[in-house]
Amino acid sequence: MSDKTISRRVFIGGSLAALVGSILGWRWWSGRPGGAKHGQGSADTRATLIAFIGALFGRELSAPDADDLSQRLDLFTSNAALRRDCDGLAVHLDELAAGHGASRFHHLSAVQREQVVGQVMRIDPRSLRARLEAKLIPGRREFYRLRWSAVPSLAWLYRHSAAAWRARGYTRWPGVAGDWHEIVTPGLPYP
Amino acid sequence: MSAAQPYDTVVVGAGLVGGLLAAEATRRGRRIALIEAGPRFDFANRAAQLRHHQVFGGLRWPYENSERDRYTDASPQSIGVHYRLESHRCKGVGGSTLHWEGRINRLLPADFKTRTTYGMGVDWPISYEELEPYYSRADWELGVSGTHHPSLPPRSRDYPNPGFPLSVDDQLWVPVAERMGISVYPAPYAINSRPYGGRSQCVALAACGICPSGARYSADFHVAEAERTGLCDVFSETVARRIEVTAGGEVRAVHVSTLDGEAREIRGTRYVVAAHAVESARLLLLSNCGNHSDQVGRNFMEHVYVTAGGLLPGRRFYPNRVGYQVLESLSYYAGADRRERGGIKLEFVYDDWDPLNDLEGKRLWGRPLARYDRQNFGHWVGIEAETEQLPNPESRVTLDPKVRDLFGDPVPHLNLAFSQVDHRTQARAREIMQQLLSAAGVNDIAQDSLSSTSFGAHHLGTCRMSDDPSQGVVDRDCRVHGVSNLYAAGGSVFPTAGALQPSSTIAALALRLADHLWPA
Repeated sequence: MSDKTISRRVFIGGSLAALVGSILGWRWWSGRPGGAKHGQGSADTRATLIAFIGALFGRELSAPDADDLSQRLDLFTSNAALRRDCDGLAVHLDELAAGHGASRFHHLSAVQREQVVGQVMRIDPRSLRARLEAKLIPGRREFYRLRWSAVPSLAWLYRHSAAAWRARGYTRWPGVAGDWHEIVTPGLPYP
Repeated sequence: MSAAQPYDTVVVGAGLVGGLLAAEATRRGRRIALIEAGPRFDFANRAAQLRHHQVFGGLRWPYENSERDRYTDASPQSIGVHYRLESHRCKGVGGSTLHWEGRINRLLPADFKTRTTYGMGVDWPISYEELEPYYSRADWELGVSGTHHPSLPPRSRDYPNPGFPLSVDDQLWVPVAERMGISVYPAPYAINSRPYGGRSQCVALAACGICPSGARYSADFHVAEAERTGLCDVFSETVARRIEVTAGGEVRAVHVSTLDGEAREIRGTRYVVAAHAVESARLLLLSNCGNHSDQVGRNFMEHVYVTAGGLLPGRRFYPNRVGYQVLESLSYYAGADRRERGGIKLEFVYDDWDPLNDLEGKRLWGRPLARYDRQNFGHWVGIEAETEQLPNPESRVTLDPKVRDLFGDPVPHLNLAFSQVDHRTQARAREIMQQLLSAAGVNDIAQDSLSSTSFGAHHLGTCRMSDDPSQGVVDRDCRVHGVSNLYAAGGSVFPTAGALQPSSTIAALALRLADHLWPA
């Protein structure tokens, strides 16, 4: 065996070892628990989720909007499994916020929040990239599970909330009583 | 364990038929039992139920028991889409009137004789004229709000409540209808336009599928009336599993089981199966009863809704201020081509599209999504065409040979099948909607393809009516051929479906059956 052959094999073997080590290190780093984010208070989780919903739908939520969503989230998270999903999603959001220098998602500016939302939403969890990431990186697998379960559920919650209807200029929405005779006249102007 | 004393009548199902029969029986001093597989819902919980649906989604009525309500479905192989039975029925005291929207229409006189009139389908053994007095009684029992229109079939009595007028949104269609030479009218609804029957008037909660106010009729109100007399017993969360028929062709008892497995028999002088078309057929098949001519379960019909719509940028509508839309047209129900296709009814709608739903579909979020909603919400106008499915023996409910429910009984196996005529009906409906929407000024018209949500939840035909025992399951009085004291009622006995909501006809047939069972 020539020196050249040995050198080539050492080079290839060393490169492969480095690559495997990088992947394993990346998996460990990405999949590690959220560290200090574990056990974050429910108020912070709630604030992060409401801020996320607002940013997802491009809204600066008013106090009544936030209050309405908070009440609906109370009911939503009365289900233990959904509460765990919400907590998990909040952890991910707060981790992404760290990339913008904040400790919590809801501390970000509106522009920063939208950027983080983009990071969450940009990759279609049904795409090949997402499926590959989910297979290779345990942390990403959980992330995509939450993206595909918790995010649509929170979107449903928002779409049926007072906040969504108020944004359209409605003063009444499904579930709020009124006078059926209203249908013969136009509603208030849209914003 | 048996009930202590036989009832005058035992009804399987506490829905629209069961509720009306219970009210009529007890008004005439008769003892009646209702056997209902589903739960009893507390009216006081409806507001919370609405909030639950707004937060969690899913079925509006939490009736489903996954082991009791199993079924299998071969429809994808025949029509290309799955038929989601759990979304198209509701088990509970009140039945499907718990989740219906309240729109109520009579069949037209020609719907009772489609074979004679159009050369397709079959003729009913009874006519519209024979049923008309019962239609009118049904209107007053349910508290229908309506305004008579020449498009609608003749009636002997006015509606009990004033009809809902055309909305400000509906005014779009008035000049279009004039230009196209068609008639539009406000549909009747079993929703109180004013207080009636001990129930509130509509308070525009825009949640008709639950109706926390009670303005929309549901059969639990009639069940409650019957129970207050002390002559009606309701066995809820109790599944009728077998009808025991003697060698002499008479029902001796219905064998039932509760969800925790307690078995009993319930006995009466006469029996009515009114458990919605799927379960009614299933019960007769499980009991090997009434199926001498292999008709039980066959001719399973639904109403297929084909939909189309688009944006009118220059016009703003106000969807979801109330939960119902009233504008309809029957101008394409018949027509020169009617011998080549089934009936078509049009419903004009404004709330079939929510731009915020495009979050995932269009990959929009953040401020672009908010802009998209501002630009598009309230501009959408659509038409839903309710189309007739003709009776088809291959469209049927059978017993699954392998899958069992929690009691070990074979579950229903569905196979919804379309004929060539059905496809022509749906295609013609699409042409009509395209023309009308274009005439209204909509440029980019989107047509929805057939999907699992394209159905009206109108289960019809599996125990159909015929004077000829070889062609049907029940006779003109809804008595099961070959069994002297057994009847079937509800949508299951319809020989044809028409293209109109079936509840009015179901109610009318129930009241007619009541007069037959307990003549004055």
